[in-house]
Amino acid sequence: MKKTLQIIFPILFLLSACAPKVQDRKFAEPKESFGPRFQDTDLSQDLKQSDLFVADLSWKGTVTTSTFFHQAQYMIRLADITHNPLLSQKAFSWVRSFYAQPAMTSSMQFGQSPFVMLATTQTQGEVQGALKDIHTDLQNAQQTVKDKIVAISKEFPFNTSGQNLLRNLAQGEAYNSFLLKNLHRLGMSAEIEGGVRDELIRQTGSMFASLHDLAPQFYITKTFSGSLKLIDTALTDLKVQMPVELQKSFAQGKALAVELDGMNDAQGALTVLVDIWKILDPKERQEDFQPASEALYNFLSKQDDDALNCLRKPGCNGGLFKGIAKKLFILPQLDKYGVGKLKQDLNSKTLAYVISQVEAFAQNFIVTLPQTFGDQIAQGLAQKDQELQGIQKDYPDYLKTLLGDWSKKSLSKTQGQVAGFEVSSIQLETSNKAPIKLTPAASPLDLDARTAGASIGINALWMDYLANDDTLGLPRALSQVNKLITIGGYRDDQNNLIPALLSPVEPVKSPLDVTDYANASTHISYRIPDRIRLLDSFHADDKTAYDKTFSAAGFAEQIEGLSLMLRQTADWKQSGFDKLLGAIQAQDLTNEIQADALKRPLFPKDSFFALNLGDVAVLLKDITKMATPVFLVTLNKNVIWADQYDSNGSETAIMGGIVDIVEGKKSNVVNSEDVAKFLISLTEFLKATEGAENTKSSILLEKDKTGSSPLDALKDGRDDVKMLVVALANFISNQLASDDNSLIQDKYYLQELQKSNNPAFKVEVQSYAIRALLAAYEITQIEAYKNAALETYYSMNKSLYDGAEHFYINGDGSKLTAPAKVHTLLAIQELRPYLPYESQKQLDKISAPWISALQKLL
Amino acid sequence: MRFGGILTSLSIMLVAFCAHGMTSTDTLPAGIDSPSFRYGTINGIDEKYTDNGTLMKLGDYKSVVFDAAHLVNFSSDAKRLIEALDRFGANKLGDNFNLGVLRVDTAPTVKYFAPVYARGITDKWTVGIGLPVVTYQNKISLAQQFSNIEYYKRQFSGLSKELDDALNTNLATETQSTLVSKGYKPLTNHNDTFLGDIQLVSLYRFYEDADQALLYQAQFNLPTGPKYDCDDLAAINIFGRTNLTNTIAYSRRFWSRFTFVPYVAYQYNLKDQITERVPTDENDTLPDENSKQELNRQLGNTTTVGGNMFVELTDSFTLGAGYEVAQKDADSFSGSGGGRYDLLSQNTNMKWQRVRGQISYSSVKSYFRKSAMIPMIFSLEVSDVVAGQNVERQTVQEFNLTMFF
Repeated sequence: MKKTLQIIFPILFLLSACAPKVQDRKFAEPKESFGPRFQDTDLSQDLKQSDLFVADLSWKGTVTTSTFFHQAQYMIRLADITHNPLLSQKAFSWVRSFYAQPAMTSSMQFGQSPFVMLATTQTQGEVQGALKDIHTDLQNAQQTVKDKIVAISKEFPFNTSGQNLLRNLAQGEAYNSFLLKNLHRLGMSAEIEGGVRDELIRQTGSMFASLHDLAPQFYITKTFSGSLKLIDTALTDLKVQMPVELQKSFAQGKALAVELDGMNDAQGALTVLVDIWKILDPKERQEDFQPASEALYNFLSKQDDDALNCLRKPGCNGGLFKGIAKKLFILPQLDKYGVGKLKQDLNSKTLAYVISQVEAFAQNFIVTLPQTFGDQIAQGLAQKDQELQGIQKDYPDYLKTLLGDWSKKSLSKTQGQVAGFEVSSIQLETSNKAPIKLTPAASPLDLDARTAGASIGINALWMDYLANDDTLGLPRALSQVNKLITIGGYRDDQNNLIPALLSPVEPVKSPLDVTDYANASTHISYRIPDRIRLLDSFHADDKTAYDKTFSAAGFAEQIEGLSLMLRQTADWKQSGFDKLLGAIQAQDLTNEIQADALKRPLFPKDSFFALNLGDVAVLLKDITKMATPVFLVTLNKNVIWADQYDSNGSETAIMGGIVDIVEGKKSNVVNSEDVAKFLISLTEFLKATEGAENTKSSILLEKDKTGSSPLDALKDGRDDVKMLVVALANFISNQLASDDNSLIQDKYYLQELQKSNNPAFKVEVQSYAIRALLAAYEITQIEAYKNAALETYYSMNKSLYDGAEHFYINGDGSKLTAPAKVHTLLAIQELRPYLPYESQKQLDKISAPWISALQKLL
Repeated sequence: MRFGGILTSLSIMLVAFCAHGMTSTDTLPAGIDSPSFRYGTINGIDEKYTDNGTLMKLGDYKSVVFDAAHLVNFSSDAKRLIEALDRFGANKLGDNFNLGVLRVDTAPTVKYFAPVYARGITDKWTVGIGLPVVTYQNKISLAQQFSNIEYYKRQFSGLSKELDDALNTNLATETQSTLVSKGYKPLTNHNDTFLGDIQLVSLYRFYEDADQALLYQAQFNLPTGPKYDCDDLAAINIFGRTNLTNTIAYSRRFWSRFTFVPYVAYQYNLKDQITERVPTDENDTLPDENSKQELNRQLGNTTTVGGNMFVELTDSFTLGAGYEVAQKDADSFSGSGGGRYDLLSQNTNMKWQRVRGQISYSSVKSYFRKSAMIPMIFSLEVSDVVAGQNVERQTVQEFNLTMFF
């Protein structure tokens, strides 16, 4: 037994040792990090002497304005990246030089500009409606206001006797306050009551102030002439027209006062006495003259008018007997009485007379205040009604005049002229030895699509930098808003459609009506043609045919420029627009009409955002229309034009690009540079419209019958644009990039679905591709694009860097132009943050002499 | 790999219930009735010998890798996704796309209780019947592992709803919903008790002398257990079969206490009919509901050769050890509905090697010596599949109480 167990147990142990072992299945670890497929090239040998190298970026020749503005734009971007403000200052000084040259742009009176036309059209309905309402209110008020004032005024305790001028003045002020407090009882509309109140306060305030000043003086004046002067001053200050019947007496009084002041001898005294005699009626003569001198009274009583006129003149004796009496009796009597005393007496008498007359007048007048105020207010209302009816009848001219007058004050340097579009090409010379020289090389009336886009872009950037008091601040901003309006077109005050610069791509005469664009299901594409003749600074000449050539670059630059402007008009954030235009209120146009309605921006930012967005939307909508320049490449390697792509169909589009339309035909050749530019422009749009949900624009927030708003469409549109960015980035990184080194071919042939396979790579194509891929990466955060950009850069260093040139050269050995070098500098500086440390150091060595050269340009 | 049944080859499990313990040449004396009760647990069936003989956890074995190469064949949508991702730059993002591994973790156990009744017709001939009651438990969980989908989500989320949906694929959830959409039962835990296939056994001893004997055993399996369920991937699906197993065993006694019993067996399966989903091609890992067909099934026959050694430690205690080698032919299917019937046969051929150990206590001799109240045998048998192909490892512990009247 024991033996058996000794055998069995070892066997069991042996068996358990041989028991099968479970093997774990090994699963491959998935790849979760995808960097560039190859590394940077060490250029240390080539860069050994770079510290001693002095680069030169002098630039001379005829260039397109678009190129010039883009240079400035690249320098501004370069300044931001390299934290070198000198570069942006340089760029803006170039742009300033451009606009300082005559004939670089056309110009027109701001009062006739598209903004004024649009403002008239846009506000006409509202204003006419408001004026009509006011007219009705004014008419109702006119009919009742006087009676109501009189009725209410019965509650005021007028003191009707023994009041001197000062007390009556206080009484008048008290009544004025009483009336102001009770204005609401007059039954006027709130707007009119407010207007009456303001006007009453304004007018009575100055009147009472003036009377407070004059009334005390009236009592301390010693001479008749002084009192009359005070009355005269009061009449002038209070702008009171003396009644006709009093005017004659007042004139006589003033003449008498002059004589009285000049009374130095007996003849002068007689002249005064005769004049007084003539003014008085017989009863007054008896009362005033007889007690003073019976003889004089009797003498004068016997004189007829001719004799009296004669007596008041020196040397006129008036016949034998009268002459004797004058010489022997009257004049000696006057001398005997004393001319000075007589003068004093006369002044005293006349002064007392005037005071009593004025006090009597005031006393009488004070009780007529309700009637007077009623009349005045009714008249004022009638006058206002008449004025407003005048505006109502000719509102467009009224507004144009107002804006024209405003612009002449605000744009005094140009006498109210606002600049239009720029020339398409210029003669340029810049170096580090002399300041930049710029002269126009084309007519500003021959508009180039790329210039239109680039100029809006650079000015949009400039608006952030221009100070409020910069002489170019307001002019540039006003030019921008006019460009925005004219690009999309508008309707004038007669509802006539003013053709937009965005013109039909198809051979049709159907101008864009941006006001109805959202509702119209038009299949027509609209873009600014590469070349179009302008009628004036802003308007296309719709009678002159334009070539149906619409370059992809032009399309991209229009989107880019308008998108840069969107950053300015975005109403949910602060921008240069607020600084330059935001503070200007409609009320600033006129002092004649004071109204809360006018206390609103003359350039409403949210409306301009909607307008600006509308311009871009027309262009983006083109992508899905028949004349689209955008193609898509499907997984099945089919090329589909974007208008024919059905996202729910059997084909999956994952790549895309853009072609030129030349004389109405889509090109078979895809320019890589254009694809990159188009991608960059779309990312500008996406960045500019980030946060658009915060807009206050009523145009964008208004919901239609289905409950959706233009803002909803914008959100959807942004998603589509983002997808297009992805498609373009895929095309660049997957189709245009060479398989072995990721350098970008400059062309792609659509029908053949084949890139050009040209071994002579162009540096600027690489630069655009790098910028486009990085822009796509920033928007989508898809690392594949960043990796592709890095690979392209590494291959540039490997294949296109030239030690002798100290920079990159094209694959065919040709050197880069100055603007191409600047753009390449920008591209590699944009890439810099994504490079490893060693590559960054190398890039800095490559860039340093050229950035220095850029700074030294004058 | 077909995403076939989780347990497919437990057919070797329930060996002859009626022949007690390890194969021997014993029969009941004439007129003796012998009720017995067998209780066993089968563990280790969460491990499987693959077709190359490697022993793997069933979870590993059944796990499906959803990398790009697999996905391309999985669906046209997946293929489009891979191709599309390849267009993003030059990093071959499509080719590197990996949804990961769908891991199907199972913890199956089978317990059975089988009352068996046998009677000695003659001293040489015994017949019996066994009614197995089976409890099948299986804890099933699905998990997604080894995926780089998070990287792709970071890169591509938000681009389009279609892409987002594709990248938000949870293999476990998707699998369940796919199963449901195709008419399968969801993969959930099982805890089922049912009557298995009833077995009839006949033992006939041809020859016997003092040292040796020769026995023929015929075991007939009746299809009383659950039918084949093609909609339940976790069903045990080894019941409802009709087969006849013929065994010839020879015993030789030596050294007075040792008995060596070599044997050979052949199981013949009768052709039957089942409802099965027929794949259209190799990539049709989960055939649709409309692929169901009534098929003729011919289960592969099994040939077994083995030998047991018994050592009588005392009159009451016996130790036994055994070893057997078996080979099962591939199943074959035929039908009239078309489809790739051959794919149903894949990996249905099996081989295995099993070792056994047994200890038994018998009161029969004591009973005859009047020192035991009743004649009975109590045994504990442990067996394990130590090698094989296309077969689950089965570690069986079985208690057997046999009484004689």
